[in-house]
Amino acid sequence: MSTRQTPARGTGTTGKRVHGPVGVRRSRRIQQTVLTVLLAAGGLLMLVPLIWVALSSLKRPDEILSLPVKWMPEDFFNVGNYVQLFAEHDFGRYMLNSFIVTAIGISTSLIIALLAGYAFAYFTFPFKEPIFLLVLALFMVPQEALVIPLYLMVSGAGLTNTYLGLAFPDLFTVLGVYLLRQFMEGIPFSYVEAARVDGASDLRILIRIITPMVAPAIAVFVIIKFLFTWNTFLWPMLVAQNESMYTVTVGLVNFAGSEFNQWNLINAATMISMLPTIILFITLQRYLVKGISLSGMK
Amino acid sequence: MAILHLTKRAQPRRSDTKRAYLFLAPALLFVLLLFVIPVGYNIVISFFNWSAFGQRDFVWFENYLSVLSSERFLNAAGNTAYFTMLVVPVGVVLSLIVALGFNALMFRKGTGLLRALYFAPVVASLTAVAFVWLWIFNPSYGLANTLLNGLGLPGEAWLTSESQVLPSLAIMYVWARLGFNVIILVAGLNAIDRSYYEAARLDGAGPFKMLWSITLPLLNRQLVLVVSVEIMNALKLFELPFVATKGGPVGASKSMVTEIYELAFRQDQWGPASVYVIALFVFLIVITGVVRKVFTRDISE
Repeated sequence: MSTRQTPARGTGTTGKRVHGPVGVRRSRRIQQTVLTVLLAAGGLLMLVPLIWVALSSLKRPDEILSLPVKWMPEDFFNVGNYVQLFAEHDFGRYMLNSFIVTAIGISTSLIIALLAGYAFAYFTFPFKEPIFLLVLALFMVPQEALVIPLYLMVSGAGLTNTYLGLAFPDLFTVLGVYLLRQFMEGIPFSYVEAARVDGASDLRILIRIITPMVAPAIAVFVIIKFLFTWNTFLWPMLVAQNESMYTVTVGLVNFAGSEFNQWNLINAATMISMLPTIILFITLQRYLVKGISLSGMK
Repeated sequence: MAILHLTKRAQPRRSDTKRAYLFLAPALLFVLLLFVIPVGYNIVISFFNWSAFGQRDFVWFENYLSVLSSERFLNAAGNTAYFTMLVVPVGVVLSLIVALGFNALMFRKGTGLLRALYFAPVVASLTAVAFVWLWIFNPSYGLANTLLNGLGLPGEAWLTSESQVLPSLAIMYVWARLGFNVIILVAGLNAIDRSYYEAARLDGAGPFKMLWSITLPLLNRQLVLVVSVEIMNALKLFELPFVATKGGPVGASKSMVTEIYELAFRQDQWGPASVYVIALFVFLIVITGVVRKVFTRDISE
């Protein structure tokens, strides 16, 4: 093996495209094919549970509880379960509530993050470092664990069963501050400097100059925030006490509890609850992946 | 020019401080509302016999003593610890293997699609994940036992068995979280300079040697992140047992957070519930502290 690799020595620094003798190249190609097949097999295995739920959601009530278990529904266009969930149950309302809560959470946390990011990136002020470190440290605080005081605060303020109450823990996200500050630091300071010399106020600079320039970071943040807010369960379960205020996760759990063993409907309801995030994922996958990798790079 | 730029940036303008705090005010307000006040409030409640119906008796450390010595707390803490010890190593090692696979893949075409397969479950809420697997683990109609029977094996009890319930929840959890970690690790692997590997290859290092002495140390930051996030998420386990098992069978899948919910919101025992919260925070701080220690020592070796 060592003798075969010697010819590669000359091209060593150019990276991985090392063209060795034919034997090496062929074994590498085989290696790559095996690797691709293995990764694809693993990937399909990951997808099986979702496919199984999707297929089950198209089965009729008698079909789903018949043995032996069949993979495929008899009619692939049987959307009766979905129709029933929207017509006879309140899934339309739950979706609407989730969208409203998510929209409130995204917009508020985005505005707050833009302002804070700007302060950290373009101002010098006392305690800047300690404050930023404090904000970063909050990354590691599991907010869900603070439901007891948060609930007492929100119900004390009379905000149960309101959209504001439902969105309360999502009004601010540490990730947003961090992400936007990182992006803003990448923008040359001279832009801000020049605008300040021209007499523009900082708020105006933020809105007119900086915000358009950090649009990719905003996109990334909005997507991640959508995902997290849409998927919360414990908090909305506590705060939405009227069924008319249920978000889709709460509605799903409540529905499954009342329709025990109606697995065709439960599977369809599960699909409905996942649909917006799946669509988001398929259309904007690039940004989502980018956002997550960015949050991992400090 | 560069020096000029730096000095200009470092020189505070007179009005900066006021303006900066104005810009920071909303963020700081929410840090106060969502973190500082709740943590303080929670500590206060933990010293009280506190009821939703108005009872507020200061009881010193009574809640701490009764909770920490109770069977119920030990069960919840034990279950949560067991679950965490299952999902963190398995989840991190599996995602590292997948990430290394992607990193070794040379044709970039179609990798995006391939990666999407692993990432798809991440977009599902844990509530939805619970239902997905509740149906898969259904003893008579579920996919899991159908497949086992198809292989000529007897079906398993999965979520309905005291000994299998936490491993079953761990399977659900690892499935749901894998793609997230893979993305972070792949990004970290991509950032590693290839010339390190070339140099090591010239020194005659094998693939495992390279993994151990180049890849893992240089991936340290992402590994710490993935491990700490995984620990945090595993410790606050709630949706999966709440939806899929209701904490059963016989309390075998009750977690710290399901007990916090149960005690405060079902049994009106807010004082003891807030002791659970504090215990959870202490676990988190201690464990992430240990993780950081272990990983920093690794890199210096």
